[in-house]
Amino acid sequence: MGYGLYDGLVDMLLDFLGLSDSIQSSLRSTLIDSLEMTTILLFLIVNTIMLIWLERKAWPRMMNMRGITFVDFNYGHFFGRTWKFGFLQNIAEFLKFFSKEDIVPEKADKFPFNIGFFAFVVAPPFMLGALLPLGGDAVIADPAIGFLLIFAIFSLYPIGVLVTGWSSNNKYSLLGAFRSAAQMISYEIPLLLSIGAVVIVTNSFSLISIAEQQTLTPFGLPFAVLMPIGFIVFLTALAAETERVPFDIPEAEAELVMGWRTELTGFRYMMSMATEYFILLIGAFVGVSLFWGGSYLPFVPAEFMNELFEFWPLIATFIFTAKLWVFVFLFIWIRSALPRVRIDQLLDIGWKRLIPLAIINIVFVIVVYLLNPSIYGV
Amino acid sequence: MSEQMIIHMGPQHPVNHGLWTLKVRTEGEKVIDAEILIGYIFRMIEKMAESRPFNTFQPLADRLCYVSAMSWEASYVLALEKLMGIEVSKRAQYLRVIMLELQRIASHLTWLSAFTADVGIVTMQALTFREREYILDLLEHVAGSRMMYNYFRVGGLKHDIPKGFEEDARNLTHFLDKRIGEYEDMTEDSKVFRLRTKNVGILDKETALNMGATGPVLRASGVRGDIRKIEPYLVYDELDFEVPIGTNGDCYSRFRVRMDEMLQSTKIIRQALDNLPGEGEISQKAPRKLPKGEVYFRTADPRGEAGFYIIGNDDKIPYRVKIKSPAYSNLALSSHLLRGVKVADIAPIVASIDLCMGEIDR
Repeated sequence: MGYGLYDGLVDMLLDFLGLSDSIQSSLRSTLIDSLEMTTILLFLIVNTIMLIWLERKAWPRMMNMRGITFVDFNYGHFFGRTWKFGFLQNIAEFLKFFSKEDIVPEKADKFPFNIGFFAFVVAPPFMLGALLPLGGDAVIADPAIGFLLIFAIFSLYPIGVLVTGWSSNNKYSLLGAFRSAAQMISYEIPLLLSIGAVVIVTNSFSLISIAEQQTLTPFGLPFAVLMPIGFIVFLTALAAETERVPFDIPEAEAELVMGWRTELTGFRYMMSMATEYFILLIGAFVGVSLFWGGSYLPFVPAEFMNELFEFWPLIATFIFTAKLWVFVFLFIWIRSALPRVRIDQLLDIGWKRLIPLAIINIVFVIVVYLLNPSIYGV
Repeated sequence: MSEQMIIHMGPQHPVNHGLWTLKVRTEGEKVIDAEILIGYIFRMIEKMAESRPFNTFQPLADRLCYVSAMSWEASYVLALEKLMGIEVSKRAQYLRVIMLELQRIASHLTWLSAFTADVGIVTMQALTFREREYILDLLEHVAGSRMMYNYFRVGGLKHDIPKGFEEDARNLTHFLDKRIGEYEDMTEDSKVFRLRTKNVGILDKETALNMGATGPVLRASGVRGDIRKIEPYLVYDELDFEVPIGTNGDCYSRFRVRMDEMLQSTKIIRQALDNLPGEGEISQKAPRKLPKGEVYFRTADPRGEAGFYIIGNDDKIPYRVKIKSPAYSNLALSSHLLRGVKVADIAPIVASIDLCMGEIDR
């Protein structure tokens, strides 16, 4: 496993140093691993910042506004206008947040407020880097439990939200935290059930082998087309898990000010908001791999794609990243169009609509699979 | 969480557009009781009216509500005209009706922006302000100011309309009809929007009448209560329009009533432009002093029944001025409406009442 990008570089470096064989072999894997971890972390951070940029640019466009514009490099004035896109706005704001005072409320429960937030809200998404594929079969670690590990680590997040909201000794935070916990716990079930159908037909938990199997289906159609109900349930449940509109109830700004993060200031607030987008991005990784065929394209033969990826591995990464952006754009689009639901309506949708739909999807997939398994590429 | 908890929503809180406090007693997600605390921006408007010549108060009447300034100065001026017994020319009356209806649409668009943002469609917040800006441009063209017009005068209007206004206004009404249809598509067609507004904050007919609801809130409960029909002033009796009423009295009915009112207003403006007499005195002489006597005059503000009670004392300065604010009457209802609802419903219910703190605190 690994990206295969750094092998040559590290070998050259070790040859240059001329160390003994046993030290070389252990140093080699350590060096490659750390380089690859840095790569995926940089990829995630850069993409998170750019997805926040996309949201702050695409959503205002739907409101007839220009969005962030002015904080950018100077590209000059040509074709009759000044070209500015606001690429540096988010970086400028991150720096601004770091310069703010870090306020811990006087009556807050200090230990959980400090530890709970960083341990359960900020840290878990950063632990997932090794499991995320970057197109093709480029991934640092591909354990047998695959994406189950991703969702296991995801489920730490509501604990952190609850701890932070409860310990910050604010009524809005408390209400928001309880809503958040109720929402996330009840939507994990349809989320996993909707993926259940995929696991049944692929017999695997690995994001890479599931993506590969979608090339064997008729015309290489991805699972989003072959099991649409499952995909819709997955999308809805993911919106609830990531607290996006129409399920952004925990931070419903109309009545709860900022929900569970009301008392967070400065870089804490920045980290909580960035983590939300981070989680959305990781959800997009899972969604693209499971339902959109990873870095493979429909109607293009898999052999051709594999040869292409062998020559230029970065093409796989480019295709995968493009799909990630389209996936996140779906969420931005939904956010611009829909109001938010109420907490009891949300739980109704979760328990009475999504779970039955997910089960119907599983039954449907099993029936089709028994009749003709080649539809799912088996 | 069976423990009761008191949440002070305000004076600075997203749920109240303006400075006031909603003191909510909750049990988990359920509202047990709600109390309203106002008075943060009391500006002694009534006292100011009683301590200066009547014509110098008129710019201040604009400031009663920053969203519907034109209708407040209309209420004041019409009350004074009734006290003095002045009859204004037909042309001035038709122009007044056009301005008032344009103002009504602008006010309802502001409300729509706030309401949809509170329900959660933040996109609409920006879109309705775009159309409102066209109306404000038109009114600025006429009166010279975007928000505080000071355009009405006792005895007529400040000056005649500019060249090209009639055509612009007519085009704008057709444009607005189209855009209001788009807003209906964006809101009503959404299942989530209907989930959030239907059967939320129900005000039945009896309670609405007993608690003194006015305006769209009263009409949404099924009462045909519009001053423009009950006590027609200006030339409203010569114009053909309907009073939209709701059936259920919930947030959705209030939304529906206001949307229909905007469509009716565009219809009124077109009719008034058709019937607008080519000639007539725009501004006639008015007496310097208020005659002895008292008057109460009420008009149909965008928010409901707005009234001025004025006592004249054969002097430039009125002896007493009492202002009846529709938003105040409707605000008093909200604590009744909020009892027993979910915390998440507070925002749509309070927004559906359409508050304007300027005229509540005065």
